[in-house]
Amino acid sequence: MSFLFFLFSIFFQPVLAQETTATPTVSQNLTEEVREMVTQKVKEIQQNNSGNTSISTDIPKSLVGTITQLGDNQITINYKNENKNINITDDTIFINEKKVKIKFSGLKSGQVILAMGYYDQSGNFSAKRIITTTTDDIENKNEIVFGTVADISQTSNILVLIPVKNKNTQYQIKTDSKTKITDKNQNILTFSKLKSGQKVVIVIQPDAKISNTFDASQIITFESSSTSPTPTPKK
Amino acid sequence: MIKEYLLTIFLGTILGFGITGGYYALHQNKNKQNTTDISPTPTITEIQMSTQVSITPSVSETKSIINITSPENSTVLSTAKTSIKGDAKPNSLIIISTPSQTFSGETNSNGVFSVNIELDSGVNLIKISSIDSDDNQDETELTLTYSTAKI
Repeated sequence: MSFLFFLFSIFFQPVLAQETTATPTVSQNLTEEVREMVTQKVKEIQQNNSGNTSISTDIPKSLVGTITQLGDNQITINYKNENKNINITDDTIFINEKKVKIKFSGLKSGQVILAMGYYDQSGNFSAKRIITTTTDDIENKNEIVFGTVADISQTSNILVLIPVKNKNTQYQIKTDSKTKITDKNQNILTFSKLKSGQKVVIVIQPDAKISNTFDASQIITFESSSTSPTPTPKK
Repeated sequence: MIKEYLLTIFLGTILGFGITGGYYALHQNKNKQNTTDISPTPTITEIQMSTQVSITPSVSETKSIINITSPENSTVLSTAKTSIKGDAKPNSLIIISTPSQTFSGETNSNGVFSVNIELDSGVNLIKISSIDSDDNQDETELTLTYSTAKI
């Protein structure tokens, strides 16, 4: 009889040991959870990239661009190589750059316009107000550049920046009394506090006359102004 | 003779159960190994080792794109002052540049930010940059219009 018990215990040992761990169930659940989260994240990224987010119909929206086509009740504009249609209704008001009301017939192909109105449920845009404007008015010439200060002029308020995104380029950046210089905590700094090797974010506008030269409107440093230079070990 | 016959049947039954049980245990082990093999990242393996099921940190680490949640792009606002809300990598510096002014803020530990800005009259093409602790810069644009006219 004891022999039988011995045989019984030998044959059933692996099965019992397997049942006590129960790890496969946990790992399977985890895999499913991770898979769900990854799928959800991919969907979010795809939505962001395609820009197919739902359009609010109760919030006033605006469209800007250059008129490419004028129809009876529709204007086609182009902005950044994308065509958009604007429906014209009897309520649509037209205003020129001098803020004077004009007629629909006063619009011409090639003009830059700002249209304000609402989208309907089908995604069609109807304008309530159309204002003629200029390309300069719809542009933002500022660039936000993040990089390392390569050199600082001792005689003038000019620095050389190597942008992180393009380390083969050097930007010559001019500052003046209007340039706001701060640290990350928005404490005001002076130009003399800037150091070579420092990481900075600079909001710049290109100089129309000199290539690779820019005017800085704001500089934000990544290091505290009170940090002392790295000590050199003495022998 | 009958006693021996019954004993043989009994032993045969036990042997049968034993083989079946052994095969079942082996099969379960194989499944467990397969599950481990398909785990896509080291983070998951770490989670399997511990008993806590927490996968949030690995998801937040995959965030790399600055995302604006409010206001919606192309919105017409009747007030000059507004807040730009969105998310990026945690503890990133956020720089917002309107055509005439620059504003800055930081994302919190969850990657969420809200920066108060002031719009110019008319169309504002707003450039938004985030710079994370690894010196990665992400950029996006948002067009907002400030108009007091009744639309």
